[in-house]
Amino acid sequence: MLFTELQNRLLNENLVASDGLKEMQLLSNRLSKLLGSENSNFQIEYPLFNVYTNNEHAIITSEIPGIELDDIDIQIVHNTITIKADKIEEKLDAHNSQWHRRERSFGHMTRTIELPFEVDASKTQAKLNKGILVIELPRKEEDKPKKISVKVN
Amino acid sequence: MSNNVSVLDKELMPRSQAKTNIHKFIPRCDIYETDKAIVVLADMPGVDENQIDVTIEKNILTIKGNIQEPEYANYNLIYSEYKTGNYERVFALSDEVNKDEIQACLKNGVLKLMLPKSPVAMARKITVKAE
Repeated sequence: MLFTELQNRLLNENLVASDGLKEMQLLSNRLSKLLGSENSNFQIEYPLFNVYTNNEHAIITSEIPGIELDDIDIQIVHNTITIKADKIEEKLDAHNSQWHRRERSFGHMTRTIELPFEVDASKTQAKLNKGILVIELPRKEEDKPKKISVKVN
Repeated sequence: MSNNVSVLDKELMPRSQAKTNIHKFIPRCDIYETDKAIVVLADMPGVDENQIDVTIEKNILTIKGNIQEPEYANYNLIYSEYKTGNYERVFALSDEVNKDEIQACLKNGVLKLMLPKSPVAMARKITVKAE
């Protein structure tokens, strides 16, 4: 059952192409999340996205715990959204402290995602709430589907 | 390991069944020790501060966090890389923690637990004097 579910998801993803090179890493991230994130490589991690759309809007959500709003950079070109974020590592006083467990990832992350339509960058809103980034992107007016009424002479 | 198995079991259930269950995730944790306290950092995005439940029973520290499933009415989920769900993780503590003075705070989806060491544990450090 696990396997079929993954395959279905991959088919969906082909509709909205993401970075092909990172596919394997993503798959392994996803697998480790399914299995309880105990066995993954914690050093390399990209923010994971969910994308919701309707005819007029798109919403991108991403779980990025521990990142401040100031450390997030969002760029929009046509239908391509690039998100850059820096997660700053907790620094320890080397003299009297030591790590016991390190599972959370840190560093610079970049992801690019393509939407099925062009969006209006000037009306885009991004919110960060409880470690979840929510980007609301309205579809460009000229890109919206138009209804053409057919008249009979 | 037992935690992992239970999560796996849920994932393996048929979809129709799985839908009624909210997924449970093990939050990623960093743990460090200073001379005064043990600090636990847990990534729990989407959890409200009122929905976090930290309990200590005997020496078992349990961290639970419930999330509000995001709902976007009139939207279709066209691309999904992550699932949302509740968080749960259990740690066994040594006797060296002062259980009455544990502090917890939540910022940007990261739970920070300060577990102060008990005076007994701190007193164990013996200074050697030269005669």
